[in-house]
Amino acid sequence: MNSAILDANLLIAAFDESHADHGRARSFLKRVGQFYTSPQTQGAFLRFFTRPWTDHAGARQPPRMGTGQAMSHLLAILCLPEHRFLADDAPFGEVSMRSLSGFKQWNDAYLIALARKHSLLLATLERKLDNMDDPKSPVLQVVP
Amino acid sequence: MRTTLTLESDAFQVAKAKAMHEGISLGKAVSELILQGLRQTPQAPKAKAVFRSQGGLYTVEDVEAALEDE
Repeated sequence: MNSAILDANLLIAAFDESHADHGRARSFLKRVGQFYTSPQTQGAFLRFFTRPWTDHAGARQPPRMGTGQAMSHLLAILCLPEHRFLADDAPFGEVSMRSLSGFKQWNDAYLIALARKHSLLLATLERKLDNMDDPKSPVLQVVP
Repeated sequence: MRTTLTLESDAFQVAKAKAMHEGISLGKAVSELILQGLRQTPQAPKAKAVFRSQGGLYTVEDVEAALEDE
């Protein structure tokens, strides 16, 4: 299997046992030779774990971990021998507008452009990104 | 070490049978069974860099919502 950039959700799921798709993400990571993170996905990882959140009953909850702890977990991931760093070196001008329907999709569209620039797959847990990919030369890999 | 244990009846039967079969004391049979159990059920090694965050189980949608709500 080709090397893949993990989108933020997959990156989080692959290393946090509290993510409902942890098992699926781990299985994928075992199959892939190398995985990439970029400043964008690393930042999303840190922001997710260190921000307060609202539970399904609407109650405000404290962050899932402190900033130091989140950084420590990220550093452990970055030190794995199968990890590769990928700079966010594609200008937004290279982002495809294919099926872009709103502001929430800029990050996803950017990661697709970044993967395409570096001939990598963009691995994701979310099938909703499917229509943003170019079917003639797809780079999106939805984790089964 | 001398102590008093309350064993489940099936566990007691296993230990007693082992003691009789091997000609050892019941205490030695119980000790060996405990140690044998520990050796046979090692903790699965945790994958490197894997952790468990606080706050309970969450989903793809929860992550998506949290990152969009910024």
